[in-house]
Amino acid sequence: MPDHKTKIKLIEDRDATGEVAKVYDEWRAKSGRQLMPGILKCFSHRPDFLRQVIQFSDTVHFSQGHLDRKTKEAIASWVSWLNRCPY
Amino acid sequence: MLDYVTKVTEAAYRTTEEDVQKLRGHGWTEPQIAEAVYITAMFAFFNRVADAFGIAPQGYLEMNGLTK
Repeated sequence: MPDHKTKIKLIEDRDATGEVAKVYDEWRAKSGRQLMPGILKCFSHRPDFLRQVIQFSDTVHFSQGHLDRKTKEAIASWVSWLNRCPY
Repeated sequence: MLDYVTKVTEAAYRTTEEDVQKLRGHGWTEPQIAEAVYITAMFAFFNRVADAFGIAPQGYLEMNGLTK
């Protein structure tokens, strides 16, 4: 499947090298998924920051907190719709 | 709660103590209200990055037969 052309270039899975490849490998191993989600590839120009983005996403969103996961997803989906974000 | 996060998304500077008091009245705790703000602001961040890069939707809705 051809890569979707983005407005700003990002590093695709197969083109990742060095630190980017390392962070991608860590995320794939942890998630069990084969391909990086688009949103995370957006941070590929700063793999150090990407690692922090993954970490705080896990801490705040992808975990049970004061709010349960369903409530968090409802807020995230509603806000994303308000922000006109099809992704 | 969705009314509140709508206001935080569209005009956070206009939220008031009364808005928060209303949420408490509905049973939301202070930590839950705070976390709702974190999630709201976090997705404002992700939404803008995703739209600025123009990444393709992941097709989750289609995958679950939720769109025509």
